Amino acid sequence: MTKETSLPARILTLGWPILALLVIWELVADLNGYTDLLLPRPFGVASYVFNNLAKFAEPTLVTVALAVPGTLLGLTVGCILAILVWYSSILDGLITPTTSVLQAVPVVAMLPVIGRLVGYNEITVIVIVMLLSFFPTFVLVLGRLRQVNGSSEDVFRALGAGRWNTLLRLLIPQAVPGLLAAVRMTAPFSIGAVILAQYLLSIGGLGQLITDSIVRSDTVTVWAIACITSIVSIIVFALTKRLEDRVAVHFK
Amino acid sequence: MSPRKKKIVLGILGALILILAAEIIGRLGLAGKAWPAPTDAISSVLGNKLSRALLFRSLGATLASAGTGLVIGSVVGMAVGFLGFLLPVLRAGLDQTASILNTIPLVALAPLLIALVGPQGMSVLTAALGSGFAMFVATASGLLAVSPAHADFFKVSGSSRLQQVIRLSLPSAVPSLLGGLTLAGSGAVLGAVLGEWFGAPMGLGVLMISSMQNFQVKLLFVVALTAALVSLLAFYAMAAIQKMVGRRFS
Repeated sequence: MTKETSLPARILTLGWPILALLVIWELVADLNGYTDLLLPRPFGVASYVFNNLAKFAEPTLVTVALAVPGTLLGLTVGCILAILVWYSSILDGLITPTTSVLQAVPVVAMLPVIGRLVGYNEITVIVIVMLLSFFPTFVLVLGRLRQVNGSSEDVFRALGAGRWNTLLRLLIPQAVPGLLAAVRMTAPFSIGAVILAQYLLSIGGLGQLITDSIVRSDTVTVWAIACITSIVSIIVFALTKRLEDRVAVHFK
Repeated sequence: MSPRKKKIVLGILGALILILAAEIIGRLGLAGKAWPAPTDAISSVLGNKLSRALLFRSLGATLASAGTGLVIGSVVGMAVGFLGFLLPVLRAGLDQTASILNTIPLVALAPLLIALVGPQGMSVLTAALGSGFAMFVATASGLLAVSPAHADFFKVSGSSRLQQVIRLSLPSAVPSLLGGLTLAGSGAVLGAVLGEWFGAPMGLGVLMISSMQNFQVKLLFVVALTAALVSLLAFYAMAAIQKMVGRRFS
């Protein structure tokens, strides 16, 4: 896209489906004559959120904050295991095949099992988010560690660098883009996983607010939460994407 | 021992250690009552006529919604991808929206989706959403993966746009579509199970929630294992198809 295109034109080319969705949403409500109880209108939802910021701010913060420790843990464990597997061929043989098989297991669907095992509390949420980010981290970081780059490795070998030195000064910097890609792939979904866990186990945050609002037939709140969650996920996605684009360049 | 053989032996050994650890933790009760020994759980669920029938009935329901969702999601995903290919004006917006829609958590949309299709239709719809995105991306990128030499040849030979699409773009998209299908298959299974958490009458997801709430840990364990196996099978079955068919097109 060239820089000369005006802002409205850019919004139109990139955002037309979203505008279309908003128009359809409004039209469906108007043409069928739905009341707010059945289908609140976009403007009504937006003004409700702005008038009740306090009601949504706290659960949103709780949800986002809960996604952080799990993601960090998953990234750390994934990196450590990838380095160990890179270092030891025996560990590689033992761990890699099982991990690559387990990678296809839907982690989020295991929520009830983890919930039963760990308890109906925040630790379950952290474990789920950790598992969610662990697998992509392990696979992507290991892939970057193993990526052959003949000449640089030759230089290291010729200068007599040990394995740990090579790892520290050549391979770990080389693995950074893999780690960032893992962050971008998992962070937006960890928000969703947290909400799902909170919904299923009724443990606070936006997830429980959904359950409570459904029980009270508080349709406006339900729609508002849907919009807030969407916006939060999109922001997380955009931030992690930007982080990847900005930082990864320096390591390639 | 050849390196290849050594690799296989170590791989099997690794899996065995994991299974054995799960068994020992269960037998000794190291993780409390909620972690049954796998062999015990499997034999007690499959050994009981009632719970076995329940498991297979739920599995059937989940497979039916995952399959239906996979078909719907694939058709819609491919159609939208094709639309973006035919009308390039729409492409940027479609790409952007698809990746945004994909990051929006299902649970946030759940109440709205339920309002749209009712709790019974949820698992099919979420399975379709789970597989549709993968197929959309695969179609959109696959149709553009035409080799420049071939494109030049078609142009020089004076082929029409339609001929180019049918004889060049579509065949070039096949490997990418097959790659998308491997993701779509397991995505559909996950989508179906998650969708069943929102009030479906039966299925593996329903059984999971009810056994979680009723503390039937053995049943819960076996159901989770079944769901994981189905999703693994879906992935590897699609990967096998990809290998078989893809060879002709690459």
